[in-house]
Amino acid sequence: MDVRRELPSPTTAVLTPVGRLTMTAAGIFTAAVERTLAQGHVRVVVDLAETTFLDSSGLGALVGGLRRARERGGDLRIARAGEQVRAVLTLTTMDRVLRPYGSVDDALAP
Amino acid sequence: MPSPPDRGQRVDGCEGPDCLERVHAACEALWRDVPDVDGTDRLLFETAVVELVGNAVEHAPGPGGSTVLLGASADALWVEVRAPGPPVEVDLDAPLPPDDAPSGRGIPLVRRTTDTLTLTREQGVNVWRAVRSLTAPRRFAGGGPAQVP
Repeated sequence: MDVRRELPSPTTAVLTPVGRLTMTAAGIFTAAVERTLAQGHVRVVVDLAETTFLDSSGLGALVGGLRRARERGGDLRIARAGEQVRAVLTLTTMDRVLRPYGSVDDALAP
Repeated sequence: MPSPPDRGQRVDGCEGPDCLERVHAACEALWRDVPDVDGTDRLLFETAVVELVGNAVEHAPGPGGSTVLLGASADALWVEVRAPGPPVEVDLDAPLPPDDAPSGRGIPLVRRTTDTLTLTREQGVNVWRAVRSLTAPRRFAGGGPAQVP
């Protein structure tokens, strides 16, 4: 899995995991979030449009990223989640915490 | 009780996180073999399968790796993960963890995507079995010889 990164402003970032965000890739994603936060981009949007599959390890990586972003005064939001990702969020009730936004622009809005 | 599988896939020597890719490939092969299974049933079943395999390779990496059996019958999807190694003790009825917990959602997720989940110890092997009843029975089930590895 690759994680693409765009930096729309000095405090925001859009991370796009491409492929399956599972146990295999959770560490890669977590490292990308850490690096982004450390560079001051504390408002992170994770664009899930190209994330084809999410498991509990990948969900854990999102939860960890959210916690670390908030520790730095920022936030982590998710956008454009597909059917399988939405199902995992709903079945674990984590859609209350990681509310799926319909678009990256909506998620980037203050 | 759902009818036994008439189509299936098998993955042997499943070790380490990379095995998940082989399991996804096995699921894709199964879906090609049973194209009449509803899309939601597929993705929720595959979600359960990946959790069980991930759990097996993470917590009980025994010699030779795990064996994963996937099956489809007229009215259900089946998975069996045979993981060698020391006995594992898992609370199959564990509730979801607190919202900020980074882990602990795997088994609850399997419970929410399947109808039955069991863990037994058989001849030195931890055997996970889960079954998901199909939302709609397969239209073309049983039309040919059973092909279960």
